[in-house]
Amino acid sequence: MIIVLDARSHLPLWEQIVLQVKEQILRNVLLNGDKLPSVRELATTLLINPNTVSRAYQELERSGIIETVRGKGTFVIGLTKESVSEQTILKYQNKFSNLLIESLMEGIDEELIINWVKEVYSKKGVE
Amino acid sequence: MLKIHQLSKKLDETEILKNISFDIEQGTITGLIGRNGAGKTTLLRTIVGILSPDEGAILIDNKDITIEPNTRNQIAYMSDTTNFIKQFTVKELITIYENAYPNFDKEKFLDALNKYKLPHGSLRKYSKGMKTLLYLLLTFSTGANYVILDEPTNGLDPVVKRTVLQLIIEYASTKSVGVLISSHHLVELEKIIDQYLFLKEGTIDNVATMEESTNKHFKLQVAFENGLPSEIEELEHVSVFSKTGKVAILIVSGQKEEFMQTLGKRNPLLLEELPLTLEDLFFLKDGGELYV
Repeated sequence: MIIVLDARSHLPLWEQIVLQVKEQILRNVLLNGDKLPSVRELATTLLINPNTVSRAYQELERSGIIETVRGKGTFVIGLTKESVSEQTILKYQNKFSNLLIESLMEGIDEELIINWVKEVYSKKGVE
Repeated sequence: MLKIHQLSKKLDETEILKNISFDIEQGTITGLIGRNGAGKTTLLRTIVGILSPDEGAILIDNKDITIEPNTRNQIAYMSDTTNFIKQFTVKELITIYENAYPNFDKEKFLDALNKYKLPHGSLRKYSKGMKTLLYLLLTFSTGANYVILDEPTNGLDPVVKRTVLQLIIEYASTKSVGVLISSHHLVELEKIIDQYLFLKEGTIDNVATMEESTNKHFKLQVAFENGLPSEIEELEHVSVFSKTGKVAILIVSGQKEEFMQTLGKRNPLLLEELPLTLEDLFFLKDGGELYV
């Protein structure tokens, strides 16, 4: 697993790790059952505080994306696809519509937005 | 826990440290930053007992190290120069460290020498990087629960520097060593620390985590048709970091939303948040006049 941190990003380092792990799972770079580096390994590779890595892993674990097995390591268990709750759907529907209203107000047209959506889905490698 | 309690120290009648208090937990990394002459080295040397405090105490798990001297082997120190170690051979250094630190792990130390290809014998043929690495390995092999490092990455090539930082992270995370590092390399320091101490004129100006600081302050790039309005510039919680023509970079303390709204009402050409770094905080706290 390769994580590249961006010092110029707004996002705190731990959030950058969370996002990149999620992205790699979506793009099938990381598959279910794949082992993630240990906290110490990732911290020494990235030269960051071990607690920053722990925090990212805790967050990923809380969202059910990875799982730590005592004495064995941390593994990808994937994104749950089947059981999206109504609440989750509503949450994202709201987020998207707010974002869409803002971008339409700024003059970004529908076609461009649809292209973005297609781009993300094609990178994801799923039909 | 290593507790520094109301520490004061004079050198030649000049008060160098004034009533300094902070704690260091095992397994965490604390950065000590401040201008040259702020008292960083004096503070570190007082903590490890090279200098004795005029007032206050240094406590390890509530035991005063001046009253119970055998607690001293719970603290190891790496000075900012290698003058101390370079007069000895590797073998002599091992003897010195074994005498000073009953928990010195000789086997692990010798393994590490092999791993980093550091030759036995005299240090005359050692480069600066090799001496620093050797010194760091000696310090971490003491088995001390707290390690104090004075500018450990100063003047190192990128490869040795990376190794030094990796060793620090590794010992903090796997051996639960509490590390206190003074450094001017703020970009690398910012990423490895749990908290930082800002020393200014002999007092601790601030003890905080980066997250606490980024919640209190934020950095903005703004541009106005007629330059930065003076009412904004004069606000007490606004520091102007730089100003060129229409564009200004500000560091602002306090409520972000509120301030963004105030600025938004003045029709800025550009209003963008930039990431706040440890270096920004350094300038914010002690960016005053330049002197050498």
